[in-house]
Amino acid sequence: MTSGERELAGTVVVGQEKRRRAFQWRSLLRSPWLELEVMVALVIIAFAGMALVSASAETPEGGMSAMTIVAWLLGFFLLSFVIAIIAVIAGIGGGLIYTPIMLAFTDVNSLIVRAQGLIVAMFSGLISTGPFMRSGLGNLRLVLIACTGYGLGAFSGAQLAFFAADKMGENGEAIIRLMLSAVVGLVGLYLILGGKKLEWPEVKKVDKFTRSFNIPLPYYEHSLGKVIDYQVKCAWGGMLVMMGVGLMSGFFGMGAGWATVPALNLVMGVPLKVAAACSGVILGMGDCIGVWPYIISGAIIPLFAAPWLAGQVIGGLLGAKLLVNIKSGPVRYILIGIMFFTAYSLVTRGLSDLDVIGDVPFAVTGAVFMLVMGAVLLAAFGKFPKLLRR
Amino acid sequence: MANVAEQTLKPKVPTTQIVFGDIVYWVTVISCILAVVGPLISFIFMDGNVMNPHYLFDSIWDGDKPEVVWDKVAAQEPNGHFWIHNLTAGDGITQIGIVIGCAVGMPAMLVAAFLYWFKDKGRAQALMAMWVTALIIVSLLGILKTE
Repeated sequence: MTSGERELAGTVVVGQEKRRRAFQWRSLLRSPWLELEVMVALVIIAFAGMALVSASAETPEGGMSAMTIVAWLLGFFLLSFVIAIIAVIAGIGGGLIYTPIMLAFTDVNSLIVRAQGLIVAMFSGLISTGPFMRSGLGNLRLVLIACTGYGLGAFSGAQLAFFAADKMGENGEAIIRLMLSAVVGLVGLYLILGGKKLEWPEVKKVDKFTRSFNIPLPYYEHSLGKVIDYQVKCAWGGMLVMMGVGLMSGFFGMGAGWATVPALNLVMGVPLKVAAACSGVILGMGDCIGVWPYIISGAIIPLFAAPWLAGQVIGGLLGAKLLVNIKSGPVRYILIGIMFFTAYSLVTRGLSDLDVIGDVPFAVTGAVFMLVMGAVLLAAFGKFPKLLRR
Repeated sequence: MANVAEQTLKPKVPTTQIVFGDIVYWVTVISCILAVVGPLISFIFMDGNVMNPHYLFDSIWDGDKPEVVWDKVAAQEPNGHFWIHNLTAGDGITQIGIVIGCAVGMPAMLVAAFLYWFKDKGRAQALMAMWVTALIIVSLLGILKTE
């Protein structure tokens, strides 16, 4: 190649790079970046405006100052944003983090926490619905099958939550905390053991009932550069399992992405990636049913719920666009640590509320926290015995 | 294992599911915008709120039940549909945002049912979409509830 040709080739490469950069900038003016920018700008304007108004607002006697309220709202939004991002990286729903933590470490009434938990769980799923449906990775026919059972379960679970709150009397809050500690502890164990999931399940025979729904939807798998045409089995089994998953989600108000994915994968033979994509959509749609008993009973307090909702939508969208390729290992260990410490706090809190044990000394709680976080650090650096590193 | 086809062309995604996804996505964006703007209006017109923000968070942090929170800060029975009569109040607007987002399944499923029935001739899918819509409506209206 002559020097003139090299110069020409270099010019072409520079030109292509410039066009690529220009394209990136232009993409910021297209969906989904445009609406993301609008929402972030509105959040900044809203909080700046609230802070400005608060500076000159008078505080009534015995009331909370406006500036303190702004600080709470900002704290909720940021926490929700972080939860949404952790949830995206770890591949679980945000409700699984929010509800147990709020019940373990605050005095907020469990019905209010569970109502807000459903909002946290469903909105990150709702915002992911559009991109997944458009890409073909989501499958609406599969979502419909699952929602048929999940919706019924979520509605019954929410009704059961109010029934239990009425019937369990003064000990109700403590019993809910103990039940949730068992669920959170088991989910933590499940996350450690990894569960048995199959990336490409083999479906040998499709029953007549399942075939009648014409569920399979081929999709383009970028990592392979090919089209994946999968089969689905046992639709009735999927419906039944999803009813149970929905019941738990509606009752505890924490979503159930961690149960939805293995249910679709193992029971119906759905490929793991498709199951994960459909999980958020199912959660969003199913909790549209489960959340209403909470809304009607006034357990969703608008000013309390709004920053959590906004944090989930913006964090979920940003997390899905930017962080999808980040390694989930360390985040997963941190999440497992959070779950075990939360389960411990829920148990001690529940037993203490039932007067079975006295107040747990701070030193003991601190020691448990250090123990759990020590295990998390060891696991993150690969120094923990093989069970946690599976 | 699922069949990895040799074709590399992207398969066409059904219109019904694209329309369904877009409805859910854009309504969620609108819901989020209202949930962000509502609190600002609550602060600008502090006296116009149904629930007094100055006393709200203390009541929530104290562990009050929803009906006690409502009694303390709004002096009324709990009512999730209070926004209908308070469309200009800051917390009314915020609640509209929440309600719109929580009801998004209804229009999306209805449109999906319509498209499945008339365009795709998928009667089973249309019936399931209508079933989910019916569940949302029953839940939204509070027709069935435990006492």
